Amino acid sequence: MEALIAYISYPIFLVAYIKGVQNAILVCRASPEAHLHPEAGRLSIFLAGVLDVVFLGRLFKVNKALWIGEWLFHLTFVLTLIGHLRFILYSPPAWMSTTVCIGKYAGILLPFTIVYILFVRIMNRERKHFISIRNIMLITHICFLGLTGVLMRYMIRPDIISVKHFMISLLALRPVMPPPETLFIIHYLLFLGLLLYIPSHIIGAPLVIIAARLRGERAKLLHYPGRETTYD
Amino acid sequence: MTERRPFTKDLSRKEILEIKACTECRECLSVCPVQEVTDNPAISPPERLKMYREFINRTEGLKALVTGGEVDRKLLEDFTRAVFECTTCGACGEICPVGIDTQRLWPLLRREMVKRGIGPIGNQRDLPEVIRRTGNPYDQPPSERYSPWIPEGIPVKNKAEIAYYAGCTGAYQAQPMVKGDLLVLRAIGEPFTMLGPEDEVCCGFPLFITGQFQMLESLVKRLIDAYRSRGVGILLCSCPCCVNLMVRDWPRFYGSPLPFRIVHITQYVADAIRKGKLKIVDGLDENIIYHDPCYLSRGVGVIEEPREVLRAIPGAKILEFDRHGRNSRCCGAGGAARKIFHENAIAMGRLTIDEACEKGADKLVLSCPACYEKVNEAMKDHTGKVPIVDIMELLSRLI
Ligand code: SF4
Ligand code: SF4
Repeated sequence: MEALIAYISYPIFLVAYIKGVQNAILVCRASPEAHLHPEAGRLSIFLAGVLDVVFLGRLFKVNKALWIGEWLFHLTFVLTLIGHLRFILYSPPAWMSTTVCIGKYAGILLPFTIVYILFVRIMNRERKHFISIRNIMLITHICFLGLTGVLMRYMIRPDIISVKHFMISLLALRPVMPPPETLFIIHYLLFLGLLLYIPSHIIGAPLVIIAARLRGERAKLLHYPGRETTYD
Repeated sequence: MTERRPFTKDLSRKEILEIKACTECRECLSVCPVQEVTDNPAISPPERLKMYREFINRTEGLKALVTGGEVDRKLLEDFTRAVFECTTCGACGEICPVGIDTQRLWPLLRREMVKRGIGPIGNQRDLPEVIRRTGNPYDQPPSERYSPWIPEGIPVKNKAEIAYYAGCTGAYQAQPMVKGDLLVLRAIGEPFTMLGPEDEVCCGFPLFITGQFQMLESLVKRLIDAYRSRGVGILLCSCPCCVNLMVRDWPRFYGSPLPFRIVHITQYVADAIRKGKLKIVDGLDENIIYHDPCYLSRGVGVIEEPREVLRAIPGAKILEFDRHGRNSRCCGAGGAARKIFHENAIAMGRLTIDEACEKGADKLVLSCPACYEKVNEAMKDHTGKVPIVDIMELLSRLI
């Protein structure tokens, strides 16, 4: 079983990689937007767009209850991921001890944020079609991933050295057996599943959020008297 | 039957990213007027975007290795129906936490279906031929474009700094509205010009919105060159759909910036009131409620000026719909869907009428010829009744 896990990792990495590259090619080879208004390049508007991405500003405007859950979810997810970097480095730099510490707490919070998001969605009875099956599956998946992580940290700790050894060997293309703890195997399989399941919005959404800020500015340009009107 | 043309062929980077960016959060379902009247999530924005992503994956993604790069015709037909049932009101894009520019994206996805020979739907297919023949999408004689409604004694110049474009829907389907425009322009008193009835052809919006782009370039060039030859510096128009296309797309089809500015009539009139060029003589002791047309508010951000005009009417009390400004609810007339999905459009129009009645409005004020036509139609045989009036039609009675 352990050997199998080591070897199924590669096709999954490959599929995730190819999907990423294909998406990048699709986008890069398409034509850029024609007739962008000069305002579109303004740094202040771009920075406002970046803030929209970081704080999920558009969601804040439309659904505050959901916003806090989603924002904490994305934040804890990213921090947890960063905290995991130590598993692919034999001697992590000193600053990483801070990220590990933050990642530890973020990892605990992560499953709660997911439960909260589900709760908010389900309680919103006005909206009959409040959540898609795909999103339920995705967040349940991440919830289990988080829970197995928390269990490993506080209850059934696998041997951290063999975890590192396994991860680094995978990256070095000389896979060794993973640690035999069932919980670790489940956690790792869930991670592989997530790689296959990664939603396409991860890259697209931040860029579109920034573009939406530019669009918002553009809509103010049809002013009479006074302003140019030949935009986009 | 199968299709092999790449689904991203004519899309820009931004549009591809938008298709990929949907998080399926479904916030948009709560504001979509089509969802409100059909309750069919299978045709909702996230489902449509998911279908389109699937088309891309099956033809250009890893899945193409399994599918052989083919997409079943039935799936394409389902998608086409779903995307053409939309009113392109853009409410989904306004609420979307990601900010997908749906008002813009849907016509472009329609264009792809047109290129594949699957769209448009029903008599929308006849539009290019009808417009080529008559210059308007309603198959009406061009010589009768102005005659039934243009008021006596309107001083239309041959050449002037300002030009007025009536638009096909106003000229043939919402005549009190364009008549009101001209009466108000006469009262303001600045010289203006108009193209002859045979020269003022369709702005191209019906073709754009149904994804049939073939004739757009020639129509746009014809109009722009005609206005240029009359020395026009400002082109006034009251139809939000025309204004939208003129501002956003005419430069693209013309190949360079426009030689004149596009101004919506409420912008021009609000300015005239501010400068004292237009006096509103009579008052109106009534509650009036203003409906923001999707292509005017969400499309080009003209929200304040119509209200400024209405606030200038002595005695009038202005009410607001629950959803107004950039968040306004579509009256059902948009996206060229009103003729094909007639029942949806009528049901949406009635939602607007009912809310106006609930709010205690004495008048429902509109500023779009398509809204004007459809909401009037929706009122027939409906229990809720509220007098409908166009903003310039109303103003022309008070000056
Ligand atoms: S544009 Fe309007 S009608 Fe079309 S999907 Fe969006 S909200 Fe619904
Ligand atoms: S609101 Fe935007 S991101 Fe959410 S489901 Fe609708 S289109 Fe997708």
